[in-house]
Amino acid sequence: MRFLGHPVHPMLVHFPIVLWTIAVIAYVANAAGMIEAADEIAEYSNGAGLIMALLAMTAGGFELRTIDSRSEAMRVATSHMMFMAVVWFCFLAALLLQVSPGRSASPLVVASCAIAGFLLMIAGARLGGRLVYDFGVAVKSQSKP
Amino acid sequence: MLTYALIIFAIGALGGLYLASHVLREKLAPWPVSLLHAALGAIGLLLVIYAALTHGISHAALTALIILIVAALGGFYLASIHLRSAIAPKPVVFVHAGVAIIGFLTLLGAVTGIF
Repeated sequence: MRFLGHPVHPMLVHFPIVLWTIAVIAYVANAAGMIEAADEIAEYSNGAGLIMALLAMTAGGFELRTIDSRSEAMRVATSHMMFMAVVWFCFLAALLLQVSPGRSASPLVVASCAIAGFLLMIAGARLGGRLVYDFGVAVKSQSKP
Repeated sequence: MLTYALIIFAIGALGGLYLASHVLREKLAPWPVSLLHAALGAIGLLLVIYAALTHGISHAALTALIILIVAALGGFYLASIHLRSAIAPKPVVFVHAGVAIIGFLTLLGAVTGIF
């Protein structure tokens, strides 16, 4: 999937990474009782991150077509996909716990979900980086004359 | 009840992704994961149906139920291919996953009150 000749997936992935990073900081700040608006910042940035991640995952799904099924790159791509799906569910769980009726979930539990998602996101992003830098997914075809 | 269904569908979705990763690599998916994925999908559907029959559900949740039943029919077809020890065609897997994701997001919207 390309836009103006460039792969769309790498363009989109920055959005959830930034939004979820802000969300994690806000969740931790909220759990620590540091900033008054942290709860709201976390809610909106996490929600926006979830939506942008869905778009990024859709674009990434289209990129799978360019990878040979039996290659090592496909094994890494499927692991990357699994990691990012778990990340998405971690942040979804954080949001659902946060907005649950009566806000019964402790801010610490909510922050823990987000932190777990953040750490898995780093691991998943590393796999995504391997796809580009080690296997040249969506790069080699671009460099062809 | 719908929240529990949502959690079960989420766990089932991860199983589905694992199965899809095998299909993408043109490998036969492991049977236990396939059965677990089917069981979780069935339990999730039963919970939504139970909620609909006992407490009543919103139109959005009912729409989600219909979409998820359509996804389940695709799952039956994929299971029939798996039973023949064949690798499922990728387009069918993508359609099944796509319909299931739409159903999941619709149910999520219904639970959170977005829809």
